[in-house]
Amino acid sequence: MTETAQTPARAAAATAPTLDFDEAFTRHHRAVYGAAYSLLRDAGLAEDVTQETFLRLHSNRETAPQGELLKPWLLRVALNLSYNTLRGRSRASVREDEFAKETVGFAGASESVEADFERRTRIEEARRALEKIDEPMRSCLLLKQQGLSYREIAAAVSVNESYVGSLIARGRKEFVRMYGKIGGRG
Amino acid sequence: MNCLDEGLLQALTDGELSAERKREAETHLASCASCAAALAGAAQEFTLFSQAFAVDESLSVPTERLRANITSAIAEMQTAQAAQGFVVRGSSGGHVRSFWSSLAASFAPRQIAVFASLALAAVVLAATFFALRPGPQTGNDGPREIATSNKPAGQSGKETPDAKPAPSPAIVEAGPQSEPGGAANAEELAKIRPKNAGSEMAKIRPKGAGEAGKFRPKIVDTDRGGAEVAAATPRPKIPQPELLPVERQYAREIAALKTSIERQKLQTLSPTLRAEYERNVAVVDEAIASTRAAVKSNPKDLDAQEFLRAAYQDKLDLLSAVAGKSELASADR
Repeated sequence: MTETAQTPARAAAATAPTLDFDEAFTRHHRAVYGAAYSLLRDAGLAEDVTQETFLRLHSNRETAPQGELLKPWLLRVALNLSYNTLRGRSRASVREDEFAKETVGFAGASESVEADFERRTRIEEARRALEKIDEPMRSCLLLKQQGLSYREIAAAVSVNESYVGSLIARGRKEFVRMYGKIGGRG
Repeated sequence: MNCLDEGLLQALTDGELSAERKREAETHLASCASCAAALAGAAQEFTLFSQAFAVDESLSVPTERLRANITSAIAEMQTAQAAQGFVVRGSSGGHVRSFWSSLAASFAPRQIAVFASLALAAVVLAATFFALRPGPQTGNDGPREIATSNKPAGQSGKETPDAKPAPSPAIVEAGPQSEPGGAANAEELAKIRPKNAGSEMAKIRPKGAGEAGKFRPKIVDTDRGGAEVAAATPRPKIPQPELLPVERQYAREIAALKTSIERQKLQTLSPTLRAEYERNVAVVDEAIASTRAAVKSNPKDLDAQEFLRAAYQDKLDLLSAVAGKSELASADR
């Protein structure tokens, strides 16, 4: 506790690291935040994930990919973190939804509340379907959804680029199947 | 030309085919109704997915707040690094502190802090939770024994002496932890799983059990052929008759990640990082083992399952972080 700080980290930060962290933040934070939000649908959680993603980048700034492969790396990290956050929350959110359902019943809800509830139910079902998709299909699918090219996806997930198409196709099929099952539509 | 496979159709939809292949595919589509239908179906299916996880273009991004928070978090992290060892939040025991300080300066400190604290939180929570609960006293006390013997530190949260994260029994092996190779591991598993783990500990731990801090010397040795396919497809099922339901998916995912880490990359990590990695895996495994024991002794308990799930998730996180990191290291060369 009484150790005096040598601050090697601070010294390292002072000598410019290989990666321009500020520039990376400026260029990519929107995409990272957007990716997190697309899964989480919650501004606060998306902020947390964005923050954690860039902290990881900072920790790995010596080795993080430069240039065009940085964005795929960041999105992969962000989506993983988001996904994990979702898993942690899924039980809580089932309870929330049950509560919401009851509340809707009691309050004689307006149409918009019901519509909103419908929408949230669909999102929840989609998330549960997503949970059923195995890696690396899930990541491929999510990264594709974020607009990455096959080359970028291949780099982020570290699979051969020629597999990306079939991984997406398989993930997509699995998603539709599980989504149908969960919603009782199948 | 033969009918188009699903990957090709997907690549066509995504505009990822070379001009030549695209032309070929389109020629075929013009004359093949079933492929044309498949293409339409694929597009429709992807739309369903896209809508569910759509990126909202109008989203307002709190740029300045993010920037400020990240800047201050980095500053905090660096101070913590400098102060060596007082970062782990809350309820950690003494050994964690030394554990933490030993790696403060190296491997992605924040990540480690998160993993270590999560793993510990899980152990401590699970321990207190089950200690306080009058569990059903079934005759099934094998697992219960593990729960207590495996995690003395969790009970008090304060035990220090030589409390290096021990490689946990049972589940350490259920995960692809020490696998020297796929087939051998499967056999080993088959040997270990069917019995109740209690008395098996001695047998399970032979590798490196005596050498503290070197639990998995074999982790780097892989000799898998067909590596690329291994990454693309889930690994073939290992016979694991006694895996708890909640574990199955994790076991598979962890196995896949592990394969990919071992396959191409672990050698790109420096020895220090590798050691940190192994140590962290051990901490997480400990959490898994103790929560798993709880689930086994009380299979209906949803909270216990949740703890176990969380512990597995920590492990997954750790592995993906390492996969990411070694990936970067190798990409850098």
